[in-house]
Amino acid sequence: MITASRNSVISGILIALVLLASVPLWANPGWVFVVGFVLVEALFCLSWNLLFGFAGVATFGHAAFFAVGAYLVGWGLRAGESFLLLMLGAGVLGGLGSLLVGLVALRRMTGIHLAVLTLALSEVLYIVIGNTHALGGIDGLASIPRPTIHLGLAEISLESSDAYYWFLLLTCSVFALVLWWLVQSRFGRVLRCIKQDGERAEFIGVNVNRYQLAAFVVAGAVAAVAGGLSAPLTQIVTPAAGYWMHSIQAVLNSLLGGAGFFWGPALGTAIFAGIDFVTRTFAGLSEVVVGGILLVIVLAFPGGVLGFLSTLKSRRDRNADAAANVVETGLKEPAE
Amino acid sequence: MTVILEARDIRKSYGAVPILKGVDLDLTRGGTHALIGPNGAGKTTLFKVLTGETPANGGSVRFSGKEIVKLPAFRRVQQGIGRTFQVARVFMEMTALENIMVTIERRMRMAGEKVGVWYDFRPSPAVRKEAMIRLSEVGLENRAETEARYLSHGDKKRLELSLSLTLEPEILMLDEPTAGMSQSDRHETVALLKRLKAERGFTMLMTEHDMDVVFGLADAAMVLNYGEIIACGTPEAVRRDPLVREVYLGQEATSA
Repeated sequence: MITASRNSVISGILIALVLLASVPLWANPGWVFVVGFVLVEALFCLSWNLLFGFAGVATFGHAAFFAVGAYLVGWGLRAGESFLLLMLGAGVLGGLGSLLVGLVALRRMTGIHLAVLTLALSEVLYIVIGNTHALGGIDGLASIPRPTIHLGLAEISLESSDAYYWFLLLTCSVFALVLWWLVQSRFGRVLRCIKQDGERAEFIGVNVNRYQLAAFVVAGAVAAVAGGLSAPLTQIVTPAAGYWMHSIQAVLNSLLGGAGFFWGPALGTAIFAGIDFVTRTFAGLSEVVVGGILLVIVLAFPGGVLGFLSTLKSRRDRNADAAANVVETGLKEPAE
Repeated sequence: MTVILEARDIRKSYGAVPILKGVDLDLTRGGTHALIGPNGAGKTTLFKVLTGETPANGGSVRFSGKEIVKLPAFRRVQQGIGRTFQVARVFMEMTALENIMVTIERRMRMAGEKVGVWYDFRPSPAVRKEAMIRLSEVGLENRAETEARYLSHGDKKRLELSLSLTLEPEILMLDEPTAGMSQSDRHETVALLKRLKAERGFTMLMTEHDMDVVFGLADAAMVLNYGEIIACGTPEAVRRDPLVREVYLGQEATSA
């Protein structure tokens, strides 16, 4: 049963990858940009949900790490620095930043207090960036060039939007798969224990604080990588990258797709983007539709879209079992 | 008999309310000790202080000669102290098997053993096999694939016991191991604990209100009242103690 479900997940991932890779072949550049943007946001949401969905840590300031990566890469590309080194730097800086925040915050607080502290810290960063002249102030950094990757003898130009899209798809996929593996690994299994009952986890010898800190560092690093990838895509970085609304968007996307499922945030991001696209010509309608859908999801399907589909599947399986029971025993009800 | 755990002058207050007023307690290696006393006597608080769940305000706890009073709970677990809770606490969204497998992996990690290849995203067959054996020891082999939240109260208690023993603790602290159980479940639990104790030889400390369970299992009893130990000795001696009869056991004990 577990194998069947894992196989179907792997098949689903492969089909999605092939479909996504083919986008530049049949879609116009506008669509390629939108899908690329969704990929970056999906990776950002997956990194947030590593904390919320699997480590039991809720933060409302995750966009700060995204902004750190976006600004570093945007600033560096304008200065002509190596893209790969900048991406590496984004990951390291995001990881270090989250290590610092985690060391202070995770030791002292949990739950809503931690969420509010991270929100406050991200707002501080937002204000600092908005007032830093070298980072373009409130207007941000514009005219960020698309990079060329220098690999010794060979060079890969990512200057065309299609080339950059494929690079984006490859990088996001690799990072998403690494996160997926992490969640399934021994580390991920311990995180799940912590999420379900931190105190019990401690009584099987788990240093809860250290595991949560490790998850915090990974999530911060991946968010910064997602931010770094976004800079050459949009070719502009503004303080909005680190604004609290961006952090909350990760929360909403994850809840919509299903925070208890690894791919839930990615699905939620795609659905949100779809709603945004369909309602783009009606000012304000997008928020109404999104708000309405969220209300239905939270009230009727707290597990998100994937939670709803999973409930349908288990109901179908139960019905199939009951039908098999009727065939085998000829009884509609189990015998007393 | 050697002393494995020695607590001296344990003090704990919540605000201005003193809960433990300088408790001394010795656990002998391999013994089964019962901590009894009326509600509000401080039994659970003492348990929490000994396991590291709550810091003590003063005093010392020495485990195998080492001072552990300042160690956090997970470090005490790593040293060899295990516990169960009054209301069974297991990982509810995992199956019974997954509960034990993750605990085996923790034990192996703590012992510095190789748990498996780093890139594997499933527990190794050896871990799975051991987990099934552990479950069958407590009669849960047929519930291995059931999510813990769907287990009955008694089965959850058995799973928690198995989970705690999987860590191979030197001391197992059981907080009311038969709380909320039917009479037949209680008898089964007492028999199970006796069997596991005989097989493994760990030291046991339990709090319990059911005197049948205490007298059926323990070879030493300590009575806590208003944060002070008022008697300790064999269960029979404690039962005859006039002060214990007055504050806790009442006349029931004399006729029991």
